[in-house]
This record gives sequence, structure tokens and C-alpha cells, in this order.
Amino acid sequence: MNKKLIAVTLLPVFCAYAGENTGPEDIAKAAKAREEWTKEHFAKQGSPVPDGGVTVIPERRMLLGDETKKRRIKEHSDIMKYGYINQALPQTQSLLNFKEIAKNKFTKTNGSNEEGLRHKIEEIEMAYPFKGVPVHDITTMLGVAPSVNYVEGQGWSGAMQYFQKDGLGICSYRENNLKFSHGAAIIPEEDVTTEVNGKVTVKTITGKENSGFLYEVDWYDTNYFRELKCADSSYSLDKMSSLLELARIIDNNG
Amino acid sequence: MRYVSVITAVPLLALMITGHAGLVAPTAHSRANCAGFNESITWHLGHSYWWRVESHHFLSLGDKRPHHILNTGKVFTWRAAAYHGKEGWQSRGDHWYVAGYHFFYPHGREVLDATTMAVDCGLNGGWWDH
Repeated sequence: MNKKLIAVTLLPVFCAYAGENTGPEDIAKAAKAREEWTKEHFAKQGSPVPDGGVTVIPERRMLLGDETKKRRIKEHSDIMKYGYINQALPQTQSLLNFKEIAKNKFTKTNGSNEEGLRHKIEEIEMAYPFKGVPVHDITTMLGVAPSVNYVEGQGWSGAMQYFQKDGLGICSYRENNLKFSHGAAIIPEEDVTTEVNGKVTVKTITGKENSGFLYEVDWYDTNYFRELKCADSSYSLDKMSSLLELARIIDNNG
Repeated sequence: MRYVSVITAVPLLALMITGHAGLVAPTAHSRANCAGFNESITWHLGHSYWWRVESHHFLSLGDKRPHHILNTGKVFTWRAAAYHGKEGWQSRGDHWYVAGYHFFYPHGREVLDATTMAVDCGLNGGWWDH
């Protein structure tokens, strides 16, 4: 929809929400002041600020909290011992069972901000052209759902695809378009590689024998945050190599 | 300014009328002036993550600083809800503006996943600053 048309149409509504005797210029000034205050507020917390991009810093400079620090120590210890984080994740089972779970999740309606699973991305009102996983890299498409947030007049700022890929298992790919979500991230440099086309990349394998493993690659740039996950019953470093290769293909596709 | 720290399990009724479920993927939204509540929520049905939601509540769009902030704190949950009941009555002339900041913490990273804004009870984020 035309952005200016929406602005003209809805301006009286926003003036009403701005209080009495408040004009468009006052609203714009207040919005600017709020934006600056908010960035200062989150910077003081040591948290990512809206539209703040991706920041990679040493772990010791992050305000992680005792619980997170303990968790990370345990995770590092597991990786040294097993090669992966030794923990059963419910997400792994959800992904492994996704075909069954998905049966009742397909939406019957197609309202613009309606959530729920669709068969193809064209059924979702996206705020931008979502490309996602190339069709020839998918063995069986299981569905796609809107994700992140819905921006009125524009559409969804992200989506999550579910698919089966030979050699990798059952996978999901989630994309977050920062232009619409205003996202940002702070990442400990100890976790970072540049394996997805030179971009900030974090990879993890989490699982337990008899409960399955979740292979994850997240990568970040100035326009998108992307998450690729695959669940499989067995542990293999070759699967992580294949996952990284798929991530590079998705990145080049987008 | 008054800071309010809240970790809420939102009442079942609110869940039922939401209709904006993170059914199969994580989603975030804010709502304002909902006949008695303002809120910012992140959720993904059946999937728990380390999440934190800050919901900044302004008396009107003309305000430069929030009247108060709700902060769920870092919680491991499938639904992080910064929910404030007993405010946001349009019938008494309320015109709250709500801005939600939705963080998640995969393996110690801190990711601001989405910013959501609302002046009404619809389930749409704001467009005016995009």
C-alpha cells in the first residue's frame, strides 16, 4: 500500500493519540526524542540498541549474569568432552516430528496478519521479497510461517521455512529483515567464525544420544539475521559441514 | 519514572482473545488501549527460549519518555509477556502508546529480535517510523 496514502489517512488517528493540541511536527519531534532516549536506555544496560547492527565483543565485556556464565562454562566443557553440547532439547523432538505436528497447523484463512503455517511463501504478506532456501536444495517442503513481527501497511518482517533435506534431516530456516524489525545483536567473539561467506557466524550442535541432535548455524549482517537448524537422530561433524554449505547457498540466494 | 518489573503468566482469557499466536514460528507484537490492558509479547507455541521483553508505555504519542516500563527479565519460556492490566481504557480517554523490545539469548548472545509499536489493540506493529 502507498505509504504516503496511509500516512494521510491515518494522521488524524495519530494526532488523537498524541494528545490535545499536538501537531504532526510535535509528533515527529517526540518520536525523535523517544528514539534517542531508547538507544541511551539500552546502551546503559549493555544491551543491543534498535538498528544498532551486529557487535562482536569479548565475552568478558558482556553483561551476561551469573546464570548465563555458568551455562556457558558447562557448554564449553561439553564441547571439549563430546564435541557438542550434551543436552536434550525439546526443539529437536519438535523438528523431528514436524511432519506430524504440521498437520493441524495449516491456516484456513489468509488474513494479512494471520499466523499459522502455509504451503508456500506467496501465501504470506511479506514486507519484502523473501527468497529463503532455494527449491532445488529442498528434498520435501513442509511449510512456511510468518515470523518476527507484522508491520501494518507493509507485511511480515520475517518468515520461517520448514523442510526435509536428504543427509541433514528435518530443518528450519528463519530470516529476520532488520529494516522492518529494527533488530541488533551483541555476540561474544569467542563463539564467532566467518564460515558463511565471511559474515559473523555462530554454529552449535546440541543433543544427547537416544534423543537426537540439533545442528544450528546463525549468521548476521547489516540487513538480516538468519538461523538455519536441522534435527537428526545421530551426531556427525559431516552434518555440520553440510549445514554450513547450505547456509552459504541460502546467503548467496538472498 | 516508575519501573515495573513483571514476569507474567497472562490470564487464559487474554490468551484466548489474542488470536495472534506464535503457532509455528517465534513472533512478537505490542497492543495498546485494549479495554484494560497494554502489552508486548513474544511467543512460539511449544518452544521455549531464553527471552526478555521490555514494554515501554507512553501516555501519548507526544511523550518523549515512557511513563513506565515493564520488564519480564530474562526468562526461559515459550511466551514472554510484559502485560499490564488495569490501564488502557479508551472509554475513559486513554491514548497509550506502547513500544515493545523483544530480546532473546541463544547460547549467551544477546539479540534484539524485534521492535514493536502500537497505539491500538490491533495486532500490527507500527509503521510510522519505518
